[in-house]
Amino acid sequence: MTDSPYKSWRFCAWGGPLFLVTYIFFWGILGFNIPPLSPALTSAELAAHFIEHANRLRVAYVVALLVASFYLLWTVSIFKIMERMEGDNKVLSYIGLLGGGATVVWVTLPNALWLTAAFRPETDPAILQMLYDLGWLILDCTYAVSVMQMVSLAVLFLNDRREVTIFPKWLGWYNIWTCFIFLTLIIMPYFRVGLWAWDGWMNFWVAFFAWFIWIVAQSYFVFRAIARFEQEDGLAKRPSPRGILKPGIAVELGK
Amino acid sequence: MTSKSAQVQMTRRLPGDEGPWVFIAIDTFLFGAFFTSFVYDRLKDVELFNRSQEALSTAIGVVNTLILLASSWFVVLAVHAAKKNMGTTVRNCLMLALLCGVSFAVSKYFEYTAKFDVGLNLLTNNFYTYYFSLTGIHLAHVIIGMVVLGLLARAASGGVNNGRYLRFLESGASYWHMVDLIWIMLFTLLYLLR
Repeated sequence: MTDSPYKSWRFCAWGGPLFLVTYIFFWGILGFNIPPLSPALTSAELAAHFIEHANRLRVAYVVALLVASFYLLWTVSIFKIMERMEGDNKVLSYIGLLGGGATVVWVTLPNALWLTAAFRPETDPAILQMLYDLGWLILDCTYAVSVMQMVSLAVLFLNDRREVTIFPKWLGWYNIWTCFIFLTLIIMPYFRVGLWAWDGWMNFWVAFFAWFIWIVAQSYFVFRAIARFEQEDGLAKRPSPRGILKPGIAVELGK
Repeated sequence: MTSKSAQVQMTRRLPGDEGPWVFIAIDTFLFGAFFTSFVYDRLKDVELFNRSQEALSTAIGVVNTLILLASSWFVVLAVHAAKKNMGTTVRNCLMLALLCGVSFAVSKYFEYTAKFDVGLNLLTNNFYTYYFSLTGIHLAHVIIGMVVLGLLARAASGGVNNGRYLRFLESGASYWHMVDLIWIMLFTLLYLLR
C-alpha cells in the first residue's frame, strides 16, 4: 500500500486548490489586483498608490512569486492523469504539461515586475507606470500557453470512449468556451476604460473568474480521477466515494 | 408517437449532446451581459449612440438577418432529412447553410471596409467600440459554425440516420441557431434601437 504511486499524484493535485486560494489572497487581495488599478490612472496617481502601500505590496508580490509555483505541482498531477488516459501516444499529455508549465512562468513574472515597482516606489513615476503596465500586459496577453493546456485536456475528455468517462464531457466544453473568450484579450491593449480594459467587467471579471472556476472544477475531477485509478488498480483503502462511477452532469455546473 | 406520454418524452429531449449545451448556455449568458452593458452605456449618452447609429446601413443589417435566418432554415431541413435517412439532401442543405455563412462573412467584410474608409473604427467612440467588438465576436462564432457545418457535410457520406451522426448534427444545429439568435439581438440593438 505504501508504494501506491497515487499518493504523490494526490499530493501534487493539492497544488491546484492551494495555488488558487493563496494566489487570490496575495496577488489579488493584498496586491490590489482584484480588481486591478485602472489603466486610466496617471503615473502620479499610480506612484502615490505604490508609495502609500509599499510594504503591503512587497509582502503581496514576494509571496505571490512563491505560491505561483503550486500551479506547477498541479500541472504534473494533471499530466500523470492525461498520460494514463492517453496510453502510448502522449502528444496531448506533453502539450498539457508544457502549457501548464509555461503558465507558471506567466503568472509568476508580473509579480516580479510589480515587486520591483514596490521595492523603489520613490522612483520616476513614468518608470513605475511602465512596470505596472508591463505586468498586466504580460499577465493578460500570454493566455495562449494556458489555452494549450486547456484545449489538450478538452480534446482528451471529448475523445474518452470509456462507458463512464474519467472526466465529464461538459468540462471539456467549458474548457473550450473559456479558451474562446480569452481571445477577447486581443483587443485589451486598445482600451484604458470600459469592458475591454484590463479592469473591465469582461476582460477582468469574466476572463479571470472563468479561469478560476476552471481550476476549481478541474481540481475536483482530478481528485475523483485519482480515486478511480486507485480503485481500478485495487489500491483503494476505502470503498469508492458515492457516485464516482455514475455518469451524468456534476453539481459544479451550477456554481 | 401520438400518445401523450410519448409526446412529452419527445418535447423534453435535449437536441444533441449535453456537452455542447454547456458551451451554448454560458455563451448566451455572456452575450446577455454584453447586451445589458450596451444598453447601460447607451443610456449614459443616448444622443451619441443615436447619432453614431445613423452611419450604419439598416439595409445591410436586414440582408444579414435574412441570410442567417435562411441558413438556420437549411439546417432544420438537414436535421429532418437526416431522420428520414436522406444523406444527399442532408449534405446539400448543410452546404447551402454554409454558403449562407460565407455570404454573411463577405457582407461583413464589405460593411467593415466601408466603415474604415470613412474613418470609423473600434476606437471612434463607445458606440463603435460595441459595434466592432460585438459584431466581430459574433463573426468569429459564424466562422467556427461554418467549420462545424463543413465537417457535418463531410461526415454525412458515412450515413446520417444513426445516433452518433444525429447527435453531432443536432449539436451543430443548436449552436448555429444560437449564432442566428445572437445576430437578431445584435441587429436590433445596434441597427434599430432608437
